[in-house]
Amino acid sequence: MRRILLLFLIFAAAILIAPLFAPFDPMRTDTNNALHSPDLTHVLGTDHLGRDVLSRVLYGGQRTLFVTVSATTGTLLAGILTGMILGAWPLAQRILTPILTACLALPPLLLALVLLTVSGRGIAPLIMALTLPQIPVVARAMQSAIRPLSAADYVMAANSVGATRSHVLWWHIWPNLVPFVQRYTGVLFSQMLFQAGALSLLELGGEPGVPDWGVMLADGRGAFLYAPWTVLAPGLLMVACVVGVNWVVNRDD
Amino acid sequence: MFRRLITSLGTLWLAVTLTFVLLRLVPGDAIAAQFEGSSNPQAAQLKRVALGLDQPPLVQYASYWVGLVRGDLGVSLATGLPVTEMLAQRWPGTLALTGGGMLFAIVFGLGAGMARAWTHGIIARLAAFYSTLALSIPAYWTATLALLLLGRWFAHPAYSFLPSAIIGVHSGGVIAQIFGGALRDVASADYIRVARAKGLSDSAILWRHALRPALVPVIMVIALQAGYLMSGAILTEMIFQRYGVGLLLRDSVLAQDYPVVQGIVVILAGVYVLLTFAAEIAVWWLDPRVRS
Repeated sequence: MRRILLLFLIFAAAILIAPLFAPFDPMRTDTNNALHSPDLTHVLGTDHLGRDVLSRVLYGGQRTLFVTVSATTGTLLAGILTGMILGAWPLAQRILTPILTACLALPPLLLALVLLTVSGRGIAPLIMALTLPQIPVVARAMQSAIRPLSAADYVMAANSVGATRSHVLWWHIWPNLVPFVQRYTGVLFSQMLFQAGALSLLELGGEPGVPDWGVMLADGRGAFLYAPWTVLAPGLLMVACVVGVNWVVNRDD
Repeated sequence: MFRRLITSLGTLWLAVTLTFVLLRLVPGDAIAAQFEGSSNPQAAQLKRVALGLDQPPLVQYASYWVGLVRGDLGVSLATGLPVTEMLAQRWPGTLALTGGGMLFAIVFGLGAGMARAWTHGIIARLAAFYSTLALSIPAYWTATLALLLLGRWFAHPAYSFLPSAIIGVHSGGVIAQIFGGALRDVASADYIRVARAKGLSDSAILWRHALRPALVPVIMVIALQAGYLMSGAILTEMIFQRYGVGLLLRDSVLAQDYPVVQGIVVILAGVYVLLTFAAEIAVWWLDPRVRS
C-alpha cells in the first residue's frame, strides 16, 4: 500500500510542476508553424494548430492523470465495499448477484457513452462515466477474492468466539485482501487510462481546447502520416504510465 | 441448467430495461434535431405520434418488449428504416473484423502461453514480454502506429486480415497470461509428476495430460475477450474505417437515435449471454470435476 501512495505522490508532483517545465502556453495557436517537426524551439514539434506538443503533453497529463487516478480510486473503493457486503451478508449476495451479473452484460464503453450523453461534457461527468460501469466488474472480482478467504480456519475461529461481521471483515479478511487489491490497482489503472483515451477518440471525453492525452491522440489522427510526433508523444506517455504503475504495484514486498 | 436459463433471461431483461431508462433520461432526440428551426411545429409532433412516442413510457416499454419477442427492434428515428434491417446490413463487417481478431487472439494467446510455460530462455522471455506489452498498450494506439508503419499494406486486398491481426494481438496477450499461468499451475500437479515418472516425453505430457486442465480457465477468458472485442468495435472500426455496427452505434448515440442504440445494446447483451453460456458448456465438457 505504501508503494501505491508513493506512486500517487509522484503523479501529483508531475501534475503540479508542469507549468515550470512547459516552454509555451499549451493553448497558444500559431498557424504559421502548424505541424512543425521537432527542433530546438519546439522539442516535440507542433500540432495541426501550431500548438507546442511538449507543453500540451505536460499540461494534458494534468487532466488525464487526474481523471484516471480519481476514477481508479473511486471504482476501487466502491467495488471493495460492494464485494465485502456481498461476501459477508448472504442476503445481500442473493439480491445483488443477479443484478451485478446483468450489469456485466453491458459493455463498459457503451455504458460510458450513454452516461456521457446524459450528463454532458466536463471533468466530473467523465469521471462518473468511467467509474460507474466498472464498479460491478470490480465488485465481482473482489467477491471471488474474498470467498476463499472467508472459508479460512481463522475466520471460522473468530466467528465461533462471537466476533461481529464487521470485525472479521476489517481485522481478518481485509489484511489478506490487500495484495490482491494492490495487483488489481495496476489492472484497473490501465483500463481507466485507456478508456478515458477511447472516450476522447470518440469526441466525448475532452473539452474544446483543453489539453488531454486522449484528445491529443484524437487531434493527431488527421495528420499522423505526415506528423507522427503528434500521436507518438501522448501515446508513449500513456504506455509509460501503465508500465510504471504495474511495475511498482507488482513488485514483491 | 434451468436456473442458468433463468439467469440469462434475467440478464437480458435488466440490460434492456437499464438502457431503456437511461436513454430516456437524455433531453431531446433525433426527431427534435431533425425538425429544429422547421417552420411547421406540428411536423415533429406528427412524427412522434406516428412512431408511438407520445404514449406514456410504460406503454412504450411494453410495446418494445412485444416487438422484441417477435424479432422487431423498432424503427430508426433518423432514417425511418427498421433497426433490424440496418443492423443486418452492418453486421457482416463487424463479425469479420472481430471474428478474425478473435481467431488471431486464440492463436497468439495459446502459442505465447505455451511458450511461456513450457520453454526456457529467450523464447519464454519473449513470450512473457509480448503478453505484458500487449496489456500495456491501448489497442487504438497500436492500430494508429500500424497504419503509420504499414500504411500502404492496408490498402492491398490481400492484406485485409491486418486489422484483425492487430486487434488479436491485444486479446492474445490476455489469453497468453491466463493460459501460461494455468499451464504452470498444472505442471506441478501430481498426475504430471506421475506422467514424468512413467518416462513420457515433454510433448506427450503437454498434449495428453497438461493441455486439457489448463484450458479450463482460458475458455471463459476467451468468451469475455470476444464480447470485449465486439464492444471495442466502435473504436477499431473508426480507426480502420470499416463501416460496421460499431460506427453505427457511435453515430446513433451522437444523433440521439435511441431505437438503434437500444437495438445494438440488446444484440451485444445477447451475444455476451450466448458466449458465456457456450463457455460454461465447454468447461463442463472439458472438466469432469464440474459435472459431478
